Amino acid sequence: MGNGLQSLETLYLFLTTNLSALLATCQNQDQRAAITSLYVASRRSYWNCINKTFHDDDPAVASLVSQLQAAQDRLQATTQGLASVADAISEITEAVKVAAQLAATVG
Amino acid sequence: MTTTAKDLGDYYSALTQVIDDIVKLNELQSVVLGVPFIASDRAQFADTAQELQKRAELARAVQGVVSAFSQLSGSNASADVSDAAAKLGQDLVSIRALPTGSPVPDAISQAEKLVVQLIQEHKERDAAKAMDNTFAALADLYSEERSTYDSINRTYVILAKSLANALVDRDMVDRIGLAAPALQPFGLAPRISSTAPAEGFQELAKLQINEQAAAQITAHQKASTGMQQALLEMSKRIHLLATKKGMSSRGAPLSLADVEKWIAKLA
Repeated sequence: MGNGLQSLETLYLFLTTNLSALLATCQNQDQRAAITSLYVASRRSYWNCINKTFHDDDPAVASLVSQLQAAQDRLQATTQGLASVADAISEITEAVKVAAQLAATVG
Repeated sequence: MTTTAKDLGDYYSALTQVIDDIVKLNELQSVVLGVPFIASDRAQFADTAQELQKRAELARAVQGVVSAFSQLSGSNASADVSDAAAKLGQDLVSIRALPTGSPVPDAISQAEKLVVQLIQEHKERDAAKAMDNTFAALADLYSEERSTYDSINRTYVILAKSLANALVDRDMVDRIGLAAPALQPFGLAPRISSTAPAEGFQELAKLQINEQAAAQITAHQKASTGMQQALLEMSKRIHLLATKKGMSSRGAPLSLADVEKWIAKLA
């Protein structure tokens, strides 16, 4: 398994593990919808990549993997405190956006 | 070698079952947490399941050829031998690698016709020579995809774990099972009313979920490592027969025990 798929798996499983807690902190339906929508995007990126080949030697993929790892680090720090749902949604959005770019690059 | 091929087929069938279970978990997640799961999502899983099923069929075909090959000495040519080898060829050609884009090595399909002919002519060493590249390619294919199989299983276990925890939080899990280990040795059955305090049991249930999840991930990693070792061993034995004195051993590789254990747990 390449670093690209590994990164997508890490993000998807991080969100899977924390999904229930994230949804519990939502204050309204819009926030819940945003979280579930981002979660679905992360799940689709992961399973798309299961069905594709990764080209880990591609410099563009390596750069995106780095970006995704940085986004996941920020996401983890944000969700640990769960101080602000809006901040968590913002960080998840960033990570899922990079994940989608990564998924589109491979194959 | 026959056992290795059989276990490979059983392994792929079990992994296909894992995909089916992941679909069910996503359906449950949709109900419990409100996560959308639509037709296109199902199609994504159907693609993966189909590819794994092709590999299961390929392994069955390998099993047929290996079985025929093992009985070469002193046997008569039979339609079964020819059929098994022909089936292997069809499956090898039609299979598409997982993930897409890493095609099955050409060596597999190229060797097939020659193997059929040599098996029919009872030429064990020549058949081994023809199968040498084929089985090396089969072992390579598994090795290349093994970490993807580990990832699929990990995803399955973590998704199940997250949902199990969510159900425990919602007090939707029966607590009788948790009391059973203490009472079973004495032939007693628990009686816990639905109004019994859930707090302590919830922690205990989550601890059990955590430990079992870690054990299941480790069990699959051992199984996939064992399967890879067995395929490499099968390839090595064929190579030895093709190039040197003969097959050093014909028994089942020890590494298959972990594979069979993982398959049995899923059954």
